[in-house]
Amino acid sequence: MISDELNRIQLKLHDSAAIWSRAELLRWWSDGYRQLLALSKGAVRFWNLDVPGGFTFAHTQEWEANYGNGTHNRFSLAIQSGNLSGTYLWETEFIEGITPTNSNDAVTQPWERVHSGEWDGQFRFALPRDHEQIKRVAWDERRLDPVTVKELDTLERGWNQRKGEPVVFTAGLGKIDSFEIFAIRTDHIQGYELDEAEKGMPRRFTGDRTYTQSLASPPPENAYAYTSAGDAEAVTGSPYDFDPTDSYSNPEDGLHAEGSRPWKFTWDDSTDTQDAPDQGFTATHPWMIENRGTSEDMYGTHPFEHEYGAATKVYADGKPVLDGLGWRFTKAAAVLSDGFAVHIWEKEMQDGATTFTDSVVIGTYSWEAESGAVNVVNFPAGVVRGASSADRQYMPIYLGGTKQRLLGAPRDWRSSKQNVSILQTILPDNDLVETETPDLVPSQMFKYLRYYVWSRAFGRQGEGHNLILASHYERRFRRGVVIFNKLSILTHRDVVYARESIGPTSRRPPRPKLPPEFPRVDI
Amino acid sequence: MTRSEIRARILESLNDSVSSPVFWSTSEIDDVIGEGQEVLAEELAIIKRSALVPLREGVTYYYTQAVAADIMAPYRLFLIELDRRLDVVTMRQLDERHETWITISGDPWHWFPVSWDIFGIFPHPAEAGGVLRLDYLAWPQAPADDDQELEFSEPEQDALVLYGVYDGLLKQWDIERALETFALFLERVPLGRSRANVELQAAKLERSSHRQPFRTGVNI
Repeated sequence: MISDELNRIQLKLHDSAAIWSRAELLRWWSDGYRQLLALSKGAVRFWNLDVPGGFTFAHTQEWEANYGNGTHNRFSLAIQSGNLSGTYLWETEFIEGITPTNSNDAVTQPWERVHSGEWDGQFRFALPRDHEQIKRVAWDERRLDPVTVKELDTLERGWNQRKGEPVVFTAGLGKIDSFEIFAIRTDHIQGYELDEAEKGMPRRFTGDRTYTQSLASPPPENAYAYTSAGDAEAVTGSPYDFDPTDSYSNPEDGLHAEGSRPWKFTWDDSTDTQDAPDQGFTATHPWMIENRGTSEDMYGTHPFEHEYGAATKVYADGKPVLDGLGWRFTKAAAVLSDGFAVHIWEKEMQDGATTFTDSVVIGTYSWEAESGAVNVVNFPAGVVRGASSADRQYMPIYLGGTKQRLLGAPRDWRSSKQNVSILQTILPDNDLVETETPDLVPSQMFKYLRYYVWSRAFGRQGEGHNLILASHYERRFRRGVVIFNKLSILTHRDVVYARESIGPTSRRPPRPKLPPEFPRVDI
Repeated sequence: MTRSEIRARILESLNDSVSSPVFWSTSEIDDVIGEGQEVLAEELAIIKRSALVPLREGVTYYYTQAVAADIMAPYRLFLIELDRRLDVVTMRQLDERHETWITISGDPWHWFPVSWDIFGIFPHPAEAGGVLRLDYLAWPQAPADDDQELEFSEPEQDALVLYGVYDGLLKQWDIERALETFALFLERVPLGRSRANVELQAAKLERSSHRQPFRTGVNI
């Protein structure tokens, strides 16, 4: 935890925040963390993007970007020294009083290309906030090579509108943290559609792809369905409200009890130690078994007797147990005494509406979704903890934060199939707090962050300033950067080595020297 | 040497009481010894351990932190059932070998690093089963008690004493002597590397996989 690190830092500084405040040390620690990652490019993560791309919001003026969270795309065109913004190209001519020329469509989000014709803008994708540098870009699992815009301009006209299979990517003409691909695919290829995302996290897969998948801790199927609150209490054996169809005392009696919900109200003991040791004993009160006489509780035979002062035995034999997840497939009327309804229009009728909504196919069990029931697809219980497939890998990808990142639930599903996937180095995208334990670097590297803090602390002008120590700890931090950078390439050390240099040599072979007595030959 | 012996030597060198130190707490010295162990492990790449990883169907990438918490870097992957050592390649080499290599399944032949905490295998198995032995360079684990021998040979343990003295002198603001001691500590590093026999560096040797293609010198 960062607070422990700051304690160690303060110990070495011989300071209890009199010279260097705790907030100052935390800020330096965060800076060191970011520096270590930026200089070593040690944290690498995958990221997938739907095609065409999408931004969190689109805006017309530059200043608007400062007032929204997430990725942003300026779709407008700056005109007249940036004082005006246009949407179409012809507006530029119009404002200058020139007869406008017909121009292409305009869109605010790249994904709107699905619905538009030609567009003069770039085919752009936004990178996440923690992005630092792209290491690899792939389209539909195939690597895309990087090129410059100048090369593309040389290659052909209108490359930014050329449709086809993407083959290259470029940093493009957009802002930082965005890139473009060429050729472009304007048909909308979304990896996973988050159906009913407004109701919570995705809980189940459906799709038309051929590969298989299985989920770890998938959302449960419902074991039974019920219609009303009273049913729920009955089937779960709520001890005071459950209304048995009969009561009985001995298991033999139970065989002849009436109804589907008979209830055994007595306690059993395997031996009757006082009267008949070789026979079992059945008692109405627990004290009859325990010590025969100390209990003063009055026990009833039916649960409703609880209301009249009887203690009620809660005993598994007495409950009609239904295990698992129950699910109510009906809708309660606004006034409960009006009952319940199966279809939405029935409820509307019960509630006194005069116009009615068409219903959908109603199911009672989750598997009925396969037969068209649309009300049972996602039960709001359980979360997916993992997914596996023989054909492909499902990886958890997390953003920011600390080790607790993987303890949450998947909020989004992305695919690399027919989509753009990138491998990128990342940086922490938030300010750290003392209670965090950052994990983009191994905890063993924290000592180098201590060195960074000490180098900054001793390097600061004023009390405590010590240039020699600042320089020493700066060198030690730099060494940590080198070591961390090596960690990901150390693996290459274990390869086959050749003893001789094989590359071309610049050394010229010596001229042959013949002995002076060698006979001269004239041709 | 045990940790208590190293701690005693450090305290003696700092002219403090071994049994009841005044200027340092026991845990403080232990932390410094732990830090010194980490520095030595990083510089010498001397601590090697092994872990087993079950192969899962469809899985290409593995997080090393899920294999062992003390992994510094893997250096050998071995498929036990097939008695096969996996060759190291880069993702670039895989891209050149097969456009959609990620979709290929079968018994793994290669492995490739992605970052300090992720590596991948190629091809990925179509069915779960089989065990991958992962040999890795490790960070040292903290001793369970004071009487435990540290995971270094005697010369490195001497270096640990120097590291502890260096840190103690810094706390005493004796910067000149501290830096001199640190220089002595650094002098031990090359010797330790040679002992660890990991000096097969590219400075003298060249990777065979990086050979230049043969040139005939004939211009057509």
